[in-house]
Amino acid sequence: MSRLEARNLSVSLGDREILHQIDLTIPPGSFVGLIGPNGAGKSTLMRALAGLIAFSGEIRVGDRSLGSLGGMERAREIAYMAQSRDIAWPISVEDVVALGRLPHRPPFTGPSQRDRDVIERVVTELELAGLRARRATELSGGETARVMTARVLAQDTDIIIADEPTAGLDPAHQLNLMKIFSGLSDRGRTVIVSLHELGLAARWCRRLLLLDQGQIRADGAPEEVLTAENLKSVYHIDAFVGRDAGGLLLVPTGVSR
Amino acid sequence: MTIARGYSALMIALVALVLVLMAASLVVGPATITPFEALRALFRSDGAATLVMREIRLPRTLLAVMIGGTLGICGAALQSFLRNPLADSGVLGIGATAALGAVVAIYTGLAAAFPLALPLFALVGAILSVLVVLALGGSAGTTTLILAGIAVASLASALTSLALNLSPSPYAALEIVFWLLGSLSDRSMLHVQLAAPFMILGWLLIAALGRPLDALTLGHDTAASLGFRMSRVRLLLVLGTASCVGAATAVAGSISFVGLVVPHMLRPLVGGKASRLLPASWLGGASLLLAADLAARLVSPAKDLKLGVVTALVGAPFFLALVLKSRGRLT
Amino acid sequence: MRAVDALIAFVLLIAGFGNAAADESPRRVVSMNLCTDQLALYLAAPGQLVSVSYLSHDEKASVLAAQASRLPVNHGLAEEVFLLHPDLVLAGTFTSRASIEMLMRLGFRVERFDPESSLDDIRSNILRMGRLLGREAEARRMADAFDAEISSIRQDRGPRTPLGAAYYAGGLTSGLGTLVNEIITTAGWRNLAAELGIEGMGLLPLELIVMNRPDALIGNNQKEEEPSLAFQNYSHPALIAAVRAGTGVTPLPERYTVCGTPATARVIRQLVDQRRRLTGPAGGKS
Repeated sequence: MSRLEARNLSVSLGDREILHQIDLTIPPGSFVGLIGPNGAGKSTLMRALAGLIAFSGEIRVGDRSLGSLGGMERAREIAYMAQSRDIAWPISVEDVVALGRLPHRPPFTGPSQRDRDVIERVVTELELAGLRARRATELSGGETARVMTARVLAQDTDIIIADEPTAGLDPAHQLNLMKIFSGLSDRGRTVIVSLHELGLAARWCRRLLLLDQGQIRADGAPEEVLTAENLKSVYHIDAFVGRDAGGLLLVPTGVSR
Repeated sequence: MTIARGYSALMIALVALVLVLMAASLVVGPATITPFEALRALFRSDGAATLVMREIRLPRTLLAVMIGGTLGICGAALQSFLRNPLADSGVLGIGATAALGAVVAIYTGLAAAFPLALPLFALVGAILSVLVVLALGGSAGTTTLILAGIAVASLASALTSLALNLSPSPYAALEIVFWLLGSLSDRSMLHVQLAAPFMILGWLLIAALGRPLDALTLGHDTAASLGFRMSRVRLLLVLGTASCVGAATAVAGSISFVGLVVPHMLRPLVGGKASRLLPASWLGGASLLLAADLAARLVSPAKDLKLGVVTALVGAPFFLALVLKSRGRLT
Repeated sequence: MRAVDALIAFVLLIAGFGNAAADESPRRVVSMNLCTDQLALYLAAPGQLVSVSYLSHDEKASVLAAQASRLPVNHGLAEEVFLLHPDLVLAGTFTSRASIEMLMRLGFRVERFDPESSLDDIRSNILRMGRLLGREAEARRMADAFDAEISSIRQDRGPRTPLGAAYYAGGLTSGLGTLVNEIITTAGWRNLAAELGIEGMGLLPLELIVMNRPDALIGNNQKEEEPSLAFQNYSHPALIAAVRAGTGVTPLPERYTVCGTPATARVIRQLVDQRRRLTGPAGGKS
């Protein structure tokens, strides 16, 4: 179980600085919701933490620097779920899930028994048994999201970074997904998801990072981050924030200037 | 599992197809030798017939297999990397630039002095267009990619024709047809020996890309997150395709559409998996080119019907049908 | 007018007609075609030929390049020819139709010659050229000399008739009905293309050469030519192994074969010598 740390993290695209000197520490077992308006730099931050883009500053996974990890090593520590759910070819659902095992397989070997066991477990957990032989390109939005999540889970990593995994899904699917991520963090893994749905973030994430114009505006428990002030200055909205037995409730009520 | 068994069955069927077509290719020719005599002369010293079999028909058959295999596997690799079913070495202009390199080597007399200059120049020519295509890379939509390929191919063909027209040799202007359409007639074992090392190297480099190409099904970011370095994948792809397509073009001219048609037809049969598509497309490409060469020889035995004519007659309508089918999805 | 004056006038008139008849031969002849260039150079009176095509200045293509180089060239364009004010224009049947038709429309006399595809054609073209230029006597002498040369060649026969294969870069050959075919057979050889029934210029498949094992290949001189793809077939291992004599390709310079001229007899003699070297006086192979 590794802690994820960033010190003075900056990322530039051309001569535009997207992220400005970000510091954050994410201990194991966290369920972090990364929120912020469009263009805040959420995707960029996630891709930097996943080791997909160049950055200046430092990112550490456990006691090792991210840059010192080889490609496969890193892939065994961090799993990344891209925003785009585009599948280029009509491969079977089973094959998509199996891709998650690639970092664990030595070159020129077929899947091992362990690989098959993990795939089996994940397929059951995400209720994909009936869909395994189906072509992944012919599924509904919700089914596709489940398949992508299954692939990430099959990768069996300590850290999971998911970029807008709930976008465009029916409410039931959104809730299921958040429940799965929450369960993973309960078992000691680190889960970081970015969201636009403030209501979901408020209710399910144990910690929120509010990102605006490349910097962290607020970092803490949902009720600490989702203050009226923050919502007004960052999102330019007024919202009702309440609580019920299940957790925090947030409903945007109006636009504020 | 049934998927794996289906794949084994497919591969066995393809290997059988290649062997049958090779046998057919060995027994067709203007010399009046019966098929039995022909195959016997291949293995025993039988005078003139052995010369015909070992020095004329065998190299032709081997080159058809090797070049067809090259075009098939490169088409599959390019399509998988670019995540685009409308790519192959012809569409992307790789054959055309390789031909330009080869023409420069031959008509300056360099290839006569140093035989290796021929495949090397073709390889350099091929690299240039692969680099252009990859510079646009995965971020470009289908239309951009195809337009870039057309631009590169047109420029290369024009420069090739120019070079041939400016050449002092009176035969040069007639040979434009060979370079732009391709032909396997009168090739010798010398051509096989010259091209084989480059082709084999190319196949090996591309074969190493099986897993990364599978991962690329889910996009470049996901593939990178699964541990594959995209810059390394790109490098292997550039060097691999340039090496084998370059060598193939250097000895047989530029042949189009094989790499487009074969992966497309075989993809449903391999369950869409890129790593399986690579070897299947090699075998499929070899079969298609063997069949095309047979057709060229049977339809027009007295004249040298260029291979590219046959592959274009099959491939171009296919390409058009593909474009029409994906009308809604082209960006 | 007095009767004497009338008589003198009448005599002068007749003499004038006679002179006109004697002056029928053209005085400014322009040739636009390589083959007509050669024949005209052979037969024309000094100063009669005023321009030849640029091709006849090329030593590789023309047997009379030295003589031709003393004359100004034309490129077969109607306007060039027009400016030369010819009273006779010589052209080939393959010379650009547009140029010929324009010249005819402008009122010039244009005579077209077919390219020579047999020894008889050479003879008849020589005679026709002689008639057109008003040099019948010279033409007859030349034609007779040519005939004599050819018959002496024909009588020279060796112990056997070796098999030759006309084979050019790119796999082309000269078959039945071509000048090259007649050159080869007159020199006492058999021509593979003719035996296979190939007519005119056609492709000679490599396999058939290999199966028939010719004694010699007759074709281009690769050393003189610029590099091109077409010569790859000359280095084909099967070809090298199949040809018996191992003498490489016997070159047939195109200046003797593209156009038929009296000089064509020279190349026939060369092939006869080649045949003698191959079959030997004792009937063995060298």
